[in-house]
This record gives sequence, C-alpha cells and structure tokens, in this order.
Amino acid sequence: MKLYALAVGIFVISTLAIAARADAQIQESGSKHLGVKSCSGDNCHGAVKPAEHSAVKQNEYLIWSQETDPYKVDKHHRAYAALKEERGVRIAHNLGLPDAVTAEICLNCHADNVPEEKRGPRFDISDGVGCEACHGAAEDWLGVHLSGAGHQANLDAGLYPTEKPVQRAEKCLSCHFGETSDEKRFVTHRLMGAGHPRMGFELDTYTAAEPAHFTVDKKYIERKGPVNDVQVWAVGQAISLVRRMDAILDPKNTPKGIQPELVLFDCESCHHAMSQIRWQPRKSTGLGPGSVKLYDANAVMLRVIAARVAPGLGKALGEHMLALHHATTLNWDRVVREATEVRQVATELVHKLSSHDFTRDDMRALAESIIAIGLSGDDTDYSGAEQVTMALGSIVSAMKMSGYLSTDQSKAMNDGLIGLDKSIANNATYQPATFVKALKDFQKAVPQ
Amino acid sequence: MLAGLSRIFYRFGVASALTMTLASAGQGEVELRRDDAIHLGVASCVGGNCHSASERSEGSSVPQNEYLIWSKSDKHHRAYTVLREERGLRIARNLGLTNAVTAEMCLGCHTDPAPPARRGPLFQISDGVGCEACHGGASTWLGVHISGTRHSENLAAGLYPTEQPVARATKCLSCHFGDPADDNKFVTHRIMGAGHPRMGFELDTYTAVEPAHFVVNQRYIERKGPVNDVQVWATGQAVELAKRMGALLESKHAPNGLFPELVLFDCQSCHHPYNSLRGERDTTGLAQGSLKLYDANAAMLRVIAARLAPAASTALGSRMLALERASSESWAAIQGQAYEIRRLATALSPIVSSHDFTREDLRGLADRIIALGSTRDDVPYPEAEQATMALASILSTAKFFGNLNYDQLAAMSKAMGGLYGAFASGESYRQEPFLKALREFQRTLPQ
Repeated sequence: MKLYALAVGIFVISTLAIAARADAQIQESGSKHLGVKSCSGDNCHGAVKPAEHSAVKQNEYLIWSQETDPYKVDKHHRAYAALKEERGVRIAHNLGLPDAVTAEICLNCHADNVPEEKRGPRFDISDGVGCEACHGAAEDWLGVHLSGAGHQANLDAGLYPTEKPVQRAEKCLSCHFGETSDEKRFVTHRLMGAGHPRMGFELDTYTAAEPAHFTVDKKYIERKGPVNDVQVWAVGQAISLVRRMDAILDPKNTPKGIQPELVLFDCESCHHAMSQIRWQPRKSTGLGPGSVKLYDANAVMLRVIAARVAPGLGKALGEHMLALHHATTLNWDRVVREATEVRQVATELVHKLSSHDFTRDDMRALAESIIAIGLSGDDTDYSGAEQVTMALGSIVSAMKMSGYLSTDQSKAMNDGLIGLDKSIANNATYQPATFVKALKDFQKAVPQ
Repeated sequence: MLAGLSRIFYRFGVASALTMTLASAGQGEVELRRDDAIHLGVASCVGGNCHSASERSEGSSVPQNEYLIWSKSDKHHRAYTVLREERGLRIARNLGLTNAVTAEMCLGCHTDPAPPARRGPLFQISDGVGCEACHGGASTWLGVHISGTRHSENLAAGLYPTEQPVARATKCLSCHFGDPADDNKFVTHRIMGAGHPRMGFELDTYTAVEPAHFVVNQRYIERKGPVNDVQVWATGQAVELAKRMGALLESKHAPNGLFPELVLFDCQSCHHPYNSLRGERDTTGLAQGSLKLYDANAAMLRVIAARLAPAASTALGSRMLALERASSESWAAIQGQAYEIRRLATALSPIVSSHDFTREDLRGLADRIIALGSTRDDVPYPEAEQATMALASILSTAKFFGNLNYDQLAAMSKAMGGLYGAFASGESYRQEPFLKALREFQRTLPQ
C-alpha cells in the first residue's frame, strides 16, 4: 500500500451534506458504454495541457493509462491485461476455466463487462476498468457533458456522482469488496485458494493511491462541493461494514459442508506462521486461542468514529460486534442474527457520518483514539494495523489540506506514516511489535 | 516440523542390525493395556548396576546406559521442565490456567500421569515422561525383571511390549497424536492457538531420533524377536490412520460453532503464506480454498498396501477421495467415510505388522514414494514430510539388510540430507526444492 494520500493535493473544508443511502443500489441504465476512446481525445481528457478555462486538468486519461512511472500506474487500466499474465493464467487453470478473459467471474471486475448490446462501436473490453465502469454509460450524458452545461446537468443526465462519499463507496466496493448478490462479482475463498491476491481496501487511501485523476482545487469545490478525507474514510468504513454484513446474511454464504465462506474471515487469522506464539486476548472479540475470526477491522475503525460522532451507536456497535464474534462459536443462525444487528447500526452510521462536519478537534480526537487501539494491544492483527495506518493517513491528509499543520509538523507526521507503512508492508513477515513501535513514533509527531 | 533435525542422522549411526519379520500377533487397534501397577519412579531404574551404568556388566543383555541416554538427550526427560519455561508459561496464560505444571491437560502427556494412589515413594512427577510412562508401572514386574529371567516373563508380569510395532505405535501415539477420548491427552486446536508447537510424527523415525535407548543386536533379536525399520514405519502409518479416523468419529470433535476440531486438519492447508501462488487444483475432490483433513498417513498407507494388499489400497484410495468430498457435504458424511477408512486401516494393521519385508519390497516402496512426488503438481508439506521419513526408514532397513555398499550408502545418506533440508521448516517449505531433492535421491537408488 502506498500512501499517496499525502502527495495528492486534496483541499478540504468541511461538511458534505449528501443524501446518504447506505444500501444505494448502483443504477444500471440501459444506455451504451461508448468506450475509453470516446473520452481520451487530446482536447478532452487526454490533453497534455489543459485548455483555457477548463474546469479540470484534462490529463485524466493520461494519468489512468500511463505506464512509465511504475509507482503511479492505475491498476484499473491493467485490470484486463492482468488476466492474461502469469497469475491470471494460473488462477484460470486452477479453477478449470478455459481462459480468464472469457470468464464472467473474472471480467465482471477486471473490465467494464457490460452486455454486448450496451457496447458502442469504439468500446473495447481489453481497456480493463475504463472510464464508464465508474462514471456510467456515456451515451446519455456525453452530449450534455461536452456542452459545458455544468456538473449538476451532467449528473442529471446520468453521470455517476463519484465525488459523493456514499456513492463513491458503493461504486468502489462493488468490486473492492464485491457484490454479494452477484456471484460473478465476488471473490470467494475458492478464488483466493486458486491464487487471487488478498484484497485490502480503504476508500480514501485507495482514492489517493489509485492515483486520483482529479485535483481538489477552488474550481472543483465550486462545482462539486467540498471534500474531506476524514469523511470519505469514515463513510467508507461504514459502508464496508454494511456490505460485509450483507455478505454474511446472503443465503449463498451459509456454511456448506464443514466450512463457512472463508473469505469473510480475517485472512491472517489462519494464514500466519506457526513458529511464533502470537495469540493474545482481545476485549473486542472475546475469542479464545485457535479460533477463526471474522474480518473486523472496519468495525473497529467504525466504533472509534462512532464513539466521537454518535457515542450511543458506537457503544451499540461494540456490543453487537462482541456478540457476533461470540456467535461464531455457537452456530450460523446466531451469526446471522447478530450480523443483522450490526448491519442496522452501520446503516444508521452511514447517515450520521455522511452529514457530519468533521472538525479539527474531531480529527485530533480520532487520531488519538486510533493510536490508543494499537497501543492498548486490542487490535494489532495485520488487518487492524493496516486499517489504522490508512486511517491515520487520511487524517493527516485532511489536517494538512485544512491548513492545520505547519511544514515541520506535516513532515514529522509524514515520516511517522512512512514508518507505519513500512511496518505493514509485508503481511507474511508482519510483526505486531514493529507496528506498535512505529505507532509510538507517529504518536510523538501528533501536534499537542 | 521434525523434532531434532540434526538428530536424524543419528539413526544411521545406531547399530540396529536386523533381519525380518516380527510375527507379533498384530491387532489393528490395540487398546492400551490397563496399567494398575504402582509407578515406582525413575529413581528405581537408575542404579549404577542397572540402567545407568557407565560400563555394561558382564553378561548383560543390554548396554545399561538407557537412563544416561534418556536423561542427556531425550526430550521425554525434559517434558515436565518445558511446562515451566517461557513457552509453557505463555501457553498456560493464554489458556487461562494458573500453571501448566498443575494442569491435567498438560500433565497428561508431559509426565507419567499415574494417579497419586499409584505413585511409589521414589516417584517424581518432575521426571517428565519417565521409564514407566512407556514401560508400564514396575511394581508388578521389577522383581521378575531384576531376577534376570526371560523377556517373555517380564512381559507376562506386566512390562509393556514396546518392541512390538503395533504396541509401540499404540503407546507412542497415545500422546504423539493423543487419545481423542481423553481431554487430558489431546492437543486441540485451542491449545495449538495458545502456542503449542505442531506435532509431526512417524513411528520409526521418532524411535530413532528419540534417541532410542536400545541397540538391536543379535542378543536383542534372540530375546525380543527381529525388528525392521520398514515394518515399524508401515505399522505406525496404519495405527495412526485408524486413530485419526477414530478422532473424527468422536462426537466432541463435531463442529462446535462454525468449525470442526481444526487440529484434525492439515496445518499448512491454512497456515501458509498466501503471497505466492500454490498449486491448488481440483485433483483431490476438494475445491480450492477448502480446509483439508490431514491425510499424509493415508497416502503412505496406500503406497504400503499397494505392495502388500493391492485391493485394500484401491479401496483406501477411493475412500480417501470420498472423505475429502464429504467435507463439502456434512460432518455426518465425513463420519460415514471415516468409519470405513478406520475399518480398512485396522484390517491392514496386522497384515503390515506381520509382513516379511524383502529387498524387493524396499525397492518397490521407495519407487512408489518417489512417484508420489514426481507424478503430481502439488506435494503438500505433510506428504513431503512423511515421504522423507519413509525413505529414511527404507534406507535404514536396506543398510541393515546389507544391501548397500559403502559408496551407495554415502550417496543415499547425502541425498537424504538434501530431502530433510528441503522442508526443515513448515513455513519455508516450497515444493520445487523438495522435488529437486527427491529427484536427486532417486538418482542414488541402486539399479
């Protein structure tokens, strides 16, 4: 994971009041996807220099498609190509598929896999996750968009509102966690076992690290409203948790044979070396040694956020998560019952968080609570450390862009983040003690 | 992981000269004999003219240094002590125990767990896994034993017949796999999660690396009958498979919550790094990403049976496949197959333990074990581990049959070292180096 959040200039003020719908279904129109070539013109989004008065940099296609700077390659561009490379070929072979590039279970996230009748003449499946996979079918809105009618007119015509945290979360998570209702868009443990890489995700960090092909400047804010990294992070956590609970509630994931759908569990709970004694009790799970733990890093983050923004919901979330973990030692019916409760709380939090005005005090308090989790030893599992690191990245980014940090403070915190990032760089060699040390170093850099 | 890798070559230094067949009345699953005798304690055996003599006395049928070997080099001797060391303390804390040395669930295998009423005045729990933990409470046989009578009379008086492969397997496995019915003698996944090390086992190799405190020479064979490493190895596989299937039939191992008792599964099936691609493919009846039962004993027993009782081998193969498939159905389906596999393993046990393993058998078995690795995409860690220990047993037997000349033996021993090196750690195991070492070993086989 790379913390480009810090390098990307994201100016932030406050509140983004949007009508949050936790379970917002992604709208699928019957319109045609015109293909990347419809967007990449050199006086459109493939320009080396922006035209006078352009609201955007116009280099969006260039950022998305560039392959010269390996650290800044947008993997969406390479999503289809990856299916034909060694790992993709191996996974397809292991799954008994003739080919990954003809398999829906691969293409539905590795390309803009709309049905044939919705593909325009310039559409090319090998473009991978192209513009319209996220921004929606352009047939309806390309005319309006080119007319310079303004952002709201684009949205009204059908452009997907990726600038809104809830909608962005829904869109990104539809692949980065997957669509539980669509078995062709969900990486099961069987796919993982065949060789699919682990899928880490945090909305704000992944937006920055994509790398983002937008710049939040005055003109952006005028057109699309203010952006706040902490809010994007917080909303992302709430929606991730809703989606994870949805996956538990999906009848498809009811245990078959002797194992439940293992992809819903914490990877490192099983995939860790046996040579060192690592287990320690966690108040927030109550699980004994040798248990297989549901992935709970989103819930841990959300509990911290809620404790600041909506303490009652924070308390309820903590209790229901504890009950959910306990339920995994009882039976699936109990798991389903507790997951329903957790989903309810997380859904309420989506509404709260998407309308909350995250202040400087909030950012400070959240940073402190997040650091406290790591230092208390309650969640120093790899998945927890990963989310803590990305959360602190979002907070630093928000503080910095809000002008809360001096140059020296900013540098010290950035150094702290680099240390944290290093401590979680490799999940196979991850050591909690190294992470905790990096967290203490970061703590020293937090301005008093 | 293999305990005492460095010791593995010790077995090639042990002069366990042997011939063939041990016609022990082999029973598939031997119940451990009831031991009602008083355990007199290690101190009763260590006399300078008994089992801790620096020089054997004239006419003695054993070297008399048994206590010295045990107390200097044998982990059984340290089994109690480790409960008080860092790892033991940590495990106890993780399990919410006040202390490992007072917990029955630890003491059951880390000591001679004779109940207080059956402990003699010299008995000390801190002796760890002492003499009588394996040889049985001495109160009934110590007198006969010291009188210098025949071995059969010692046995009749109650000495445990550790020289008989089935009896030895049953005894060793009562801790090295555990007694699934006894909560004080079974390492559950909960105990593993708390920090207990993985338990690898193979009867013949573990006898050799213990290190054995007996020497198989002519007098040994006269008194106790012939012993043969391959036979010990093969019997160990049959008895262990029967025990593992028995554990699946134990109701307390049925899924409790979402998962069954995970200790019955292949550790590396989950505990592997996932950053590198592995060769998981639908060749076993299991979907990729599935929990896999530990099945390395079954793989070995199939090889053995293919040589000795081909029909049983075929049946075992199809039952094992059905067992793997059953894990995507239900626990009841698993138990149905486990019951049948236990029956097969139990029936094979006397066949294997009474078979007269010939030079051709050794060669045939070695070829088949090598083929296990060389004809497939994927050799999981436990199979690599068991295949290596199997080849070591075969090599050891061939050596003592006198089948190998000095150069052949040197080349094979060197190749054996390569095999052990290829999977010294479960975490760093990669099948390519293992397969390479296996091919090198294959090249050293005499034509």
